[in-house]
Amino acid sequence: MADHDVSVAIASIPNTGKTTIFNRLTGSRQSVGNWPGVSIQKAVGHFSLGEYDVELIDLPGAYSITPTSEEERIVLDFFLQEPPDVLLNVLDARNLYRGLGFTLQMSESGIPLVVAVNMMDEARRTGLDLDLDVLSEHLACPVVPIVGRTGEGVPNLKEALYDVIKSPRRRQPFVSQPPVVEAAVADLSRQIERSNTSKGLSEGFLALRALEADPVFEEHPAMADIRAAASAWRHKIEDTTGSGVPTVCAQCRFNSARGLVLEATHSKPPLPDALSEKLDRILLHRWLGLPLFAIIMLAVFEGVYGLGAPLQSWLADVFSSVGNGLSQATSGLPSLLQSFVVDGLWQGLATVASFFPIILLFFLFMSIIEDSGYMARAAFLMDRLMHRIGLDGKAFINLLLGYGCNVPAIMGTRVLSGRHNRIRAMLLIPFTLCSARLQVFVFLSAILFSRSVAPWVVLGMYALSFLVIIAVGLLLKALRVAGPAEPFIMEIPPYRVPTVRTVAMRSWFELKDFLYRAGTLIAVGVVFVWLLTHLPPGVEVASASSYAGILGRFFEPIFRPLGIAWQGTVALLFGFIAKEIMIGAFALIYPGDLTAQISSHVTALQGLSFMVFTLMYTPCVATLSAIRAEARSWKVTVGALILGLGIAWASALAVYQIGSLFL
Amino acid sequence: MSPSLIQPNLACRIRSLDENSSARLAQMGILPGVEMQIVRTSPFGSGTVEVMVGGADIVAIRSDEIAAMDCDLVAVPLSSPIIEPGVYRVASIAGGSGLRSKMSDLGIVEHATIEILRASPLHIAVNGDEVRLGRGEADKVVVEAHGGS
Repeated sequence: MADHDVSVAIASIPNTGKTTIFNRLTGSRQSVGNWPGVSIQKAVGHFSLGEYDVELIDLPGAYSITPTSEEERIVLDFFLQEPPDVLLNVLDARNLYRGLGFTLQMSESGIPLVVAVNMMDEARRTGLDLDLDVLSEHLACPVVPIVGRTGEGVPNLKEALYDVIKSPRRRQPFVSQPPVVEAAVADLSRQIERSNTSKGLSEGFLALRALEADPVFEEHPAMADIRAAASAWRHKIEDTTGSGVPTVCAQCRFNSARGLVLEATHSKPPLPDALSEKLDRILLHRWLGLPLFAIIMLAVFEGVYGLGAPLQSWLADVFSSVGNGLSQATSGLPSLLQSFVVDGLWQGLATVASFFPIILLFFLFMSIIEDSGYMARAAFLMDRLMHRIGLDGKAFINLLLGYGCNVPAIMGTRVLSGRHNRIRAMLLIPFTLCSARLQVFVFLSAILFSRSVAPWVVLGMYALSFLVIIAVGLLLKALRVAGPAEPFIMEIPPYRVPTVRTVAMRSWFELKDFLYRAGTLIAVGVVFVWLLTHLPPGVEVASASSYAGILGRFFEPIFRPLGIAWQGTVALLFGFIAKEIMIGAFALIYPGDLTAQISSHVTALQGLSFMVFTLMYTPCVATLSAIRAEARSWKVTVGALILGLGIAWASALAVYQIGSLFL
Repeated sequence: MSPSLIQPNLACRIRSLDENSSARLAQMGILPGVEMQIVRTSPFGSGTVEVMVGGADIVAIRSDEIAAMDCDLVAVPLSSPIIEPGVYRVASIAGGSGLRSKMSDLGIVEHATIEILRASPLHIAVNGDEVRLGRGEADKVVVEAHGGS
């Protein structure tokens, strides 16, 4: 018999270990994409369950189907447009109340539901004793205790899923509502039933969605007809109860949830986790909290880049020796073609590969910080400061790690909550002084400035980078880029020890994701710069008659006020591949004794202006590719490009012109 | 709730939420009737606050958000600006065993009745004795609120 395809969606509020369970069920059989039109990752996995082939869709973490965030809007759209055959909901055993609000909403949908109560081990450890049969009875669906971290209970969960797929039950729990809401739901349900377009969703569920928000309706075919009726009921409910429908319904659900928790809890530990409480007294201490945060961040930074840099250079050596072999093997080819293969294609691959070690390490450390529960604390500590520049506390970590390399920092924006925060962080991260830029600054300042001044120049670049981030942050905030901020509400989960499995799997998936989504674009960018610098055929590489040189001279009027000659412009073009390549580019542009050449062609002030420009101008191709992959928007990508170029030009102009007055 | 009241150990019960800014809170089960207790405030000026919700779990939230809520005070530390001379019942001592035993020696234990003679500097009367408490101690001795916000 042929396989039956069944779609199961896994949904829960954030921090319930949903992803761990998703990974447990699907193993490595998963693919990652994006939800249409948004920067939120969509993971889909497959596993077989008896005669069924199950497609498991990982929905973003949401507190409800009533949309108050981008994630919740995705969940709502998903429910309305492609309702799955079965829903799998995950609850955190330690905080059933918060999760049950969403569980009740899901069970209202009429889609058969299975509830997994995760973190049972930690609940038991703290002395929490739960009666899940009571929950199962009230929710009218199977409730399975599991421990996602160890896999305990997963076979039972599969069994429960199998049973529900085989013989779906569509009983719904009772949630008491004010009479006016009940009347509204009954009336609208009848109308929806008549139009017969509920797509397997319960009419009552659709009626509630109609009551909650207007715009939902355009997206569901049946509903345009009942818009007017829904709107009339909405006003009536608001008048009767004195608050909006979403709040009234939330109140009803959470009242039921509170009752359920009371019934299902046999014994309960006195307070939130005592260990977390003790740790927080130190880690979030008014005076100790920040120094400890600084130490932890330093350790993470060193961990990612201290371990990553040697791996990166080792990988670069491997690639360059293979490249040497490649150029010998292709020595029969015309020299232009040979250069294309070695310096274009192979270099493109090498550039993509050079990011592997730091991306792996970055997500290794990020997962540890996130899974341990420290991320939420860090966000709490830094929130006040970051709020001033229009971001929330979590974004600090991204910005900080941008000082090592922008690419993983941009990829890390996916842990931020809300598109608003993600987009703004993506636009700010390119202004961090990454290690590639640092190499250029160290190189140039050593040539152009005396030994006592050079370190101060580099330090000044760091200070400038902070200032630009603050200024651009304030600018984005004032212009309300990416919309107004969503209210900041963040759960502070209890601390827990991350598992090797979760951390390793996460890092591995992120690396694969980088390869798929950003890899191609990076390679194309590198090849593009090769074409500019090596064509038309027969020119000296990057010379005045190459396309790059022609471009450089064409743009000279724009760069002359900054004190940057066409040679500098060509170097900047190379810097688009990766900023550290600029050093190699100088060697091509100024043949002979590089130090003597540069110091004779470039004055200290011109060099300074060039460095300022380098600090801020367009992010490198890998960063841009990461922005494109994360934001899923060319508008944001081009925005980052133009923002960088514009600010770089203005700042370099100011440095050069004001500097010229004094020197 | 007045922003000046926001300080650790303050407890209040939500009376009503601001419909627009608190839509998110409502969907998280932070609704009228729920009790919140401020656990700590963030560095750099207390713009972000950790609150324990319903005696169960902790969320971080901006103090503007709390200021926009309509709340009934449940318990206030003695250092709160709302404390005025009068008779109060001690709700809890939010400190370690050292502070607890010191307070207990003075007769300041849970459910004890104390009289505030002067709010600042803090003079109180316990069992007929007059006692002065320092600012640090006053932060941690929490009394039942007389209502209102």
